[in-house]
Amino acid sequence: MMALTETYTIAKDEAVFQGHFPESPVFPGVLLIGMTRKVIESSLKHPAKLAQITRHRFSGMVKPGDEIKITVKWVSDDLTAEQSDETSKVIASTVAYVQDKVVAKGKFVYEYTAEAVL
Amino acid sequence: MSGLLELVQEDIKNILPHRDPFLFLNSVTITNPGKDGLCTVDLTKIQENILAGPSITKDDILVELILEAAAQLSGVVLSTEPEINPQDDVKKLLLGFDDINVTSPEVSPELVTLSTSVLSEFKGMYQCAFEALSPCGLKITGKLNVLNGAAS
Repeated sequence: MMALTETYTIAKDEAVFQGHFPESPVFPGVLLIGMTRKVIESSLKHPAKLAQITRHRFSGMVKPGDEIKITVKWVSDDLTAEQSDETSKVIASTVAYVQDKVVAKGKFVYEYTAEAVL
Repeated sequence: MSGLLELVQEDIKNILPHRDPFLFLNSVTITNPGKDGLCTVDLTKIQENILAGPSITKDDILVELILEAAAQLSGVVLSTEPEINPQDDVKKLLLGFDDINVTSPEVSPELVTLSTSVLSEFKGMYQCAFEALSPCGLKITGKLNVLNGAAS
């Protein structure tokens, strides 16, 4: 299965740094999750809903001006989705890097209904 | 020890390093110090352009903003543990999330009720369960892992 990679540079003047944190700005981990979700959702072939984040770990800090590389690999995609009568699940495994150092890893589960696939 | 403890934003600012526009808690009710707490978060009050660069709107990341609020609430609850001196410079670090379930991902900005409970502790690493509920039927549950105090 193909992996997808996107990179973003975190602007030094992002409003969020005023509050996280004034003395020592750090990019919030939850916003890293949000950016990762955006990468995942841009590659979904059908409209799907986030159902679960089964695991997400932060292992490094992201600072103003850092370039973040986010990779998404489908553990199960449209072809291998876990099927039930009403929904299909697709699972994405993600890693975020700053200068080749892993700063976050996660696993996301999306659901789409059978109608969405038709 | 148990009992209700009401914290206002000035109290919260003495505990958390977060500030506007990334401090989402106005008040917190501690139902069991060091163990359980709850609060409400008004998502409409969170700044729209909280993250401008990567073209992500506030609506795109409402789930994540709720996760952040849950982490902030857990940080406040942990700081009320009777053995922790409020004057101590206790480091807090969000390590990650487990078993997040989103039952209504179409989240709209509104009032969310949050509760958290400490599940376990090992050498300053705490796992807290949380639940977020909103009038529209949104439910987000999960666990978060926080380092509290043992940072070096």
